[in-house]
Amino acid sequence: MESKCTVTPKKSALTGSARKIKDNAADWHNLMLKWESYNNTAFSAANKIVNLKISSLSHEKMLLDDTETPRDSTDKEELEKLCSELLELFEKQQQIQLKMEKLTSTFKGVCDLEAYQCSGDIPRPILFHTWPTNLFYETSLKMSEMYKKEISLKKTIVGEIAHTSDQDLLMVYLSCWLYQPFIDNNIKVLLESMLLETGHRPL
Amino acid sequence: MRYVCMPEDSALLSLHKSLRRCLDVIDEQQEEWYRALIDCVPLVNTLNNLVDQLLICERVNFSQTPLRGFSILHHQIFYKLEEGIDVTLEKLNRNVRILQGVRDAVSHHVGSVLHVYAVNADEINLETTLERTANSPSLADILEWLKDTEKFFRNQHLERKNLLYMGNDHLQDIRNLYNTWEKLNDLSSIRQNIVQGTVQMMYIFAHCCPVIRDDKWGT
Repeated sequence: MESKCTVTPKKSALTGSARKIKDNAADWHNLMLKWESYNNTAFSAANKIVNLKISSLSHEKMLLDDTETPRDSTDKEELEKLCSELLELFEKQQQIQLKMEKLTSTFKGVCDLEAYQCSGDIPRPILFHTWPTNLFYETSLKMSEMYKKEISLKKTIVGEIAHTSDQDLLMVYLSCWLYQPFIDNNIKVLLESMLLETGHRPL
Repeated sequence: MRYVCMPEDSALLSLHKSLRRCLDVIDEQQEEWYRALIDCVPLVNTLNNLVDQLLICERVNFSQTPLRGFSILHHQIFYKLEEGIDVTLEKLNRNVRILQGVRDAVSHHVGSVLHVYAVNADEINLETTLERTANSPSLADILEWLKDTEKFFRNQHLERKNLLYMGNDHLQDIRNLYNTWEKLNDLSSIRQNIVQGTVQMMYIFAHCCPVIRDDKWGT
């Protein structure tokens, strides 16, 4: 006997659009987890960069002459290493964001296919519990737009963080990196709703 | 031959039982108190850190930085930081509710001991109550220590709860919370040591004190 709480309406034989939507929902979940993981590691690198910048700025203040000390060269090497690390992580996040856009376009494709198949008076099917197919696309688009803005902000930060001497601005960059201002908190609700609807989460 | 208890013996026996229960509760509750306070430390630091970040964001003119292209960024980051403050305050409130639970449990049991004493006060001689030797405190001493212990938990909880009250200038309130919480922790650790010492002493005396010694009451 199948458990009531875990079954989806067409769990046993999901094919076509329903299969695609369910897989996409799972992909969204995995991509968001990966994003968070990279974001935390990248924040750690950004934090080190800021600390290094602040300590070298105060060191510069203490030195009246412009001669390059051994500390300077070590700091520069360290800074370069950390910047490469941050850039690498940023690029991984960028790839994730592109995959999110692709998922959204897949949802769009499923919607278009349904519109084609159900043209005229044919009613559009509900593939899972209550959501019409276009709601998956709208939700995915909303989430994808958030990540698009966020990656654009991160791109600016990655480009500027090592060239800024304003300590306050450095701290703002860090806050922005950590708190991801363009990713609304309701994104978790959107994702969980999608997982619930597609049967990845028990009802 | 049947052993017949004097009324004073019976009164002291009740008091002894109540006192033991109370000591067990205090011993158990103070561990919970200590755990809750330890959990508060990172939360208080996070709050202070969030205030720092908010103030820095206020100082920076976003339109004159490379972030100028993100028109609503200023509001968004403020919103996120304020939200971080709310979430952290809620967690802190949850811990203060644990402190409140400890305070209530201790107050209840200390109140019980005092009640048992009040009910049996007429049966116990004043001399017995005040009897103190070189290696054991008097019953009056023990009751006073208990009251001090109860007062410690009550005051500490109240002071911390008051710190969590946020007025109009909540950033200043959080600064004040951060500074005062640290001081309370210092003060608390000193007082906490006194309370712990007192509880330990009472444990020892509960076994050898002439007023409540075991052999007399057959416990």
